[in-house]
Amino acid sequence: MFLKNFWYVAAWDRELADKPLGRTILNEPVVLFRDAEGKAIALEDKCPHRRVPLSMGKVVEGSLLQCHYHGLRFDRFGKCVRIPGQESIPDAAKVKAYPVVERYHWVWIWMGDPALADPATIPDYHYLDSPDWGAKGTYIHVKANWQLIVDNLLDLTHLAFVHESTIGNAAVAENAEVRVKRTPGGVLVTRWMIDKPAPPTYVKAGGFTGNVDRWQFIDFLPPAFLRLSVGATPTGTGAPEGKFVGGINMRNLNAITPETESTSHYFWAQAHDFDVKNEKLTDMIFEQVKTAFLEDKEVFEAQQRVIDADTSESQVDIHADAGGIQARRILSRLYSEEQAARQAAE
Amino acid sequence: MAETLVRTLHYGDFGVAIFERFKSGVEESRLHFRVELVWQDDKQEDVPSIYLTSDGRVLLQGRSVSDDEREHFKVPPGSDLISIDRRVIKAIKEML
Repeated sequence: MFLKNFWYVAAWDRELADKPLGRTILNEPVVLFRDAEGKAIALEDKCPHRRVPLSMGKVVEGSLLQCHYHGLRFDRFGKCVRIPGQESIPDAAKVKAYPVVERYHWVWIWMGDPALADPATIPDYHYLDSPDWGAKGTYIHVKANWQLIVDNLLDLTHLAFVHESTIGNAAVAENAEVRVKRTPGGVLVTRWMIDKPAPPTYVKAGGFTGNVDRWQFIDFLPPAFLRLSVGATPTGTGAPEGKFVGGINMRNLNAITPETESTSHYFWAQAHDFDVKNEKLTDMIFEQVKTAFLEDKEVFEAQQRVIDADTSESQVDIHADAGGIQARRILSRLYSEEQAARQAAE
Repeated sequence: MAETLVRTLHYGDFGVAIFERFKSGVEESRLHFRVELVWQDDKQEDVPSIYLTSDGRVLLQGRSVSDDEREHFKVPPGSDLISIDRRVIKAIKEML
C-alpha cells in the first residue's frame, strides 16, 4: 500500500553531487541529479529506448542527463532532446519528471499527480537547518515494509528491550500512562516518566546523577513522518509544569520513504537545543541513537522475513500499540480516499 | 553538558498543543499500563477520553446518572449508569 499524493524524502541534499543517484521510490525507479545551477531534478530512471537506468549516465551541457548506453539526452522535463545520429525525435521518447523541492537538507519528491504538489504541505523539520539546534542525520536502507518502522516509532516501550544499552531502560515499559491523541491530520502520543533512572545516553549527554523526569512526545503525520520530542530534567525540577532546569531537550526526526512493499528508505536525524555548537556532543548523541536504530533495523528485517514466509498470519495487538493502530487507521482511510479519487478520475 | 538556565519548555512547537500537565499524586502501587485515547473532532475540540486499562477494561469518561435523571427518563432501577458525550461514540467507532 502506497500513498502517492504526498511529499516523500528522496535523498539528503549532500547525496546529490556530480553523479546521478538512482533510487526506487514507491516501486518506481527514479534518478536524481543536479543541473549546473545546483537545482535538483528527478526523472524516471529508465531510458525509453532500451530501458537502461539513466542513473548510469551523466549530466552534460549543464542540465541534460545523457543515457550511458546510446547517448540519448533528456531535459529537466523528461523530454528527449537529442538522439545521436538522428534528427527526428519520436514523441514517445520521454520519461516522467517529478516535482522536487529542497528543504531542511532533504530533497523532497512528489510521486503522485503533479498538479497537487504543494510545497506548503511539506512537514516542518526546521530543526535540521536551524542555528538554534545542533543536528546530525543519516540514511539507512531497511529490508522491511515502511509501516513496520512507523509502528516501531509510535511505540517506545520497545526501548526497554531492544535498546537497553543506550536510550532504553525498564522505566519506559512499566507503570506507564500513555496518552494517544487522534487529530484529523495525525496522531500524537504523549508519555511522561516521573522520577525514574536516566537511560545511558541521557546520562552521557546530560550528566544526570540521579533520577529524572522524562518525556516522550511522538508526533505522527502521514504517510510516515515521525517527529519525536524527547528529553529529561532532574526529577522534581518542574518539567511537567513546563520548566526546564538543567536537563536535555532533543528531537528525533524521522522520514520513511517506501522503496518497495518490503524495503524502505529511512532518513533520520537527531537534534538538540543545548550546547548547539558543540560538534563532539552532536556526534556523541547521534552515534548513540544510531546504535539504537541499527538495533531496530535488525528487528524490522527479522519481522519482514517472518511476514514474507507467511503473509496470512494475523497479529495480536497490545496496549502499547495504541498509537500505531491509530496511525494505521489513518493510512488505511487515506489510501481508500486516494483510490476512490483515482477511480473517479478514470 | 546541559545548560542550567531555567527556561520554559515548548512542547507545542510541532504546531499542536501537546503540553498536558502531568497528573501528580497517582500512586504506582503495582505494575500497570494505561492508555488514554483522545479523539479530536472536526472542530478540533477534544472529546472526553477513553481509557484502556492493564486489566482489560475500557473506561469511558463521563458522569454518573443522578436519581433525578433516572426518575425523569424512567430508566429502570439497578446497575450503575454513566452519561457520556455523544462524540465519545464516534471516538469509540474510530479508535477502538
